[in-house]
Amino acid sequence: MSNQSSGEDKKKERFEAEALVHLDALSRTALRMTKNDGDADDLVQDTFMKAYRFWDKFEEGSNCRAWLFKIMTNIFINNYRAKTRQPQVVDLEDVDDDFLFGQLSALGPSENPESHFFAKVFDDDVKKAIDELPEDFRLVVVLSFLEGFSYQEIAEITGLQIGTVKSRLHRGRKLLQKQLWQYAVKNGFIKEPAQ
Amino acid sequence: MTCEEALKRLYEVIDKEASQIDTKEVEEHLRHCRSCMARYQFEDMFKTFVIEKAASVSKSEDLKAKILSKIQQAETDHGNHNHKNEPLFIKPFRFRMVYLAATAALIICVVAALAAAKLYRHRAFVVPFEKDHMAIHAMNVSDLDPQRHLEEVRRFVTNDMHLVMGTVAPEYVMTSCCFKEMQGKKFAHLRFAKGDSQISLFIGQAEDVKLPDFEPATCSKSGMAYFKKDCDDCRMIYWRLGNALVVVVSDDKSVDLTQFMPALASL
Repeated sequence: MSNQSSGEDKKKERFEAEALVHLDALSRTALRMTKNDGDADDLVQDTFMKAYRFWDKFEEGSNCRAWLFKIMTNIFINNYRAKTRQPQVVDLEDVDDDFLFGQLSALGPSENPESHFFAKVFDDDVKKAIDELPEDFRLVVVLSFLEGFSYQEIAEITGLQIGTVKSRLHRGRKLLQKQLWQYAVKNGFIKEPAQ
Repeated sequence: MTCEEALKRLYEVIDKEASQIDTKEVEEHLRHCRSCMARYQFEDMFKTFVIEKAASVSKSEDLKAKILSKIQQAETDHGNHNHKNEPLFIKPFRFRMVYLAATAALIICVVAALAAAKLYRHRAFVVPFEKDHMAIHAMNVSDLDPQRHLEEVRRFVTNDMHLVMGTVAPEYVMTSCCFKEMQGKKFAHLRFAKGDSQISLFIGQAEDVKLPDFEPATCSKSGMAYFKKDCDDCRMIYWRLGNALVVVVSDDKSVDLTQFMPALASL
């Protein structure tokens, strides 16, 4: 019995050192995925409980952070998404690739419109704009931008093809830029040039 | 390099995903092209800007403590040989009459023994498939190439099991393909994905392997008999073809797994 419990202690120590260190990162992404603190906490807890149960399956030395994110993504898709799922009709054809860049350039070369824009937009606006992305795009944008995963890692975490990862990231960027532009105009940081 | 080619690689270069050669060529182009340079600088700034504004994390010490205590709780339950969903011993029983208590204890012993046996069989025979489906084997890139072992798997299926691989539900794409040892038997493990849903297909020559507590069922389309089970995390089905055992696992419980039954046929 004492052998068994020392084994369990060891397992727990290793889990704490290797898995729980990623708690902040998982919490951050969970919050962007679920869009509320309570669900985010639950999602993170479920993730770690499941990870602990499958801990002996995790190969030491492989990418623990990616493994945890994969578990979290699966739980999110199966348990959380269903209740918040909205129909995702996204018409992107009207957003140009260089929409924001074009808009800002059109403000004129006299001042530095990009820096002005970036300095004015609030942290919360950016978080809100991410939250408003349709979920498929949001997940990929968060994993790439906030968590710094490579395309390959995102493909493995989400189970998507790498080409799909790229195209969702591309479209996610476009939508995010458009959204932020609209906030800036609405809040009066930017005066939309007369068309 | 033309502007069009340079802009085509825009995000890959910014995300540091482009090859060295591509990156060099783009940099060379940007040295001479002011308008592409401006676009690149803008997109780079935009990414940095989003990261700075949205990456802040709140320190989650409370949450950590909560998780650790939940793990402790799970360990304690586990130590008492209780299954998560069958907390037989957690609540103390209080009975006024001794004989009632004795009877209850006897019943509990029997139920617990049955539950323990069931749990043991579940752990020994079902969990390995479930775990393999959940594990990330493929963090190294070569394993992710489904073509790499595909020929070998085909040979294994045809020569050793006298089966032929048919077509998998067409909207599913194979994402990995490898061999696994399960219960001392060689299994081919094929992984498929459709959007966010992933399934694993295990094929092995394992006529004597028994999977416990599966419910018998019949496929409405093909009329073939199979067995199904919903575990905590996964839905599984299996069926037999000749001396082969085919197991399908999905962690998305909304998927109809019988659609994978035509994936294999007898020769």
